[in-house]
Amino acid sequence: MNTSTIEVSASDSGIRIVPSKRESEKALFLPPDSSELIFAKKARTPTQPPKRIKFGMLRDRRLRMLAAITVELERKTETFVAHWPEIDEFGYGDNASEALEDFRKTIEELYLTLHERRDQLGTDLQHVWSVLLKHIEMRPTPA
Amino acid sequence: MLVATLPAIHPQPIWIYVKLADGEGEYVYRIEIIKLDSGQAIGRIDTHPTQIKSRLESTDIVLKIPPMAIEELGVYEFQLFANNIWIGRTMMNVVQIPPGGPQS
Repeated sequence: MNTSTIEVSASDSGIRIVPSKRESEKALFLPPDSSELIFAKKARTPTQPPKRIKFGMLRDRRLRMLAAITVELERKTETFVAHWPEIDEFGYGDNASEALEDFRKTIEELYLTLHERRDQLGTDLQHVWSVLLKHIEMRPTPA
Repeated sequence: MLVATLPAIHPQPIWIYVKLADGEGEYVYRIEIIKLDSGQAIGRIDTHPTQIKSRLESTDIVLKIPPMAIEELGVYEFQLFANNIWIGRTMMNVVQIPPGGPQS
């Protein structure tokens, strides 16, 4: 027979179940539309920072990501650089995350600027615009 | 997070709450814990695949990170990936308690 023990503590705010030490050392995950915590897996920790990352985070609510952008990350002395080689766009920062945040702002501004002028673009910018359209779209405005 | 000495242990689990929009289909989420100044990963957690039924609804997910060992002061970042795509981050700053306590 399997037995397990749980510890229960009482306080002014009520009674709560305290997980055992072993339980508390596990990673847990509450999936969407569920009320049951399940175990998550501790995976092997990478030994090297990634050289490229699939970028998929926009903050501007007018925009929606269609497909992730593969961004190369490189440390150049004091600065981190996030680079999208396909259209030669960059983001800079003191660390990889700041560089990606800067990259996000650059891409959002670029998309909005080119969207405004999409009928007047020269050949080079038409290429940039066509690449951007594969990854980002304007969210439909509510009627 | 304030620590008196190093190495230290974050005594309680860290809970991460995420609200997602525009998702649809099957996703495997991953949290990577990174020491920000060096970019060195210090931990990684993968979830099981889960479904998001409709992109018209927002989706809540919650992850519990077990108590973790802190070996250095500085900023630790929790990076969230969905199907290997970087979609968000949050940070924890580990600072030393000044001599005489946090009030001094």
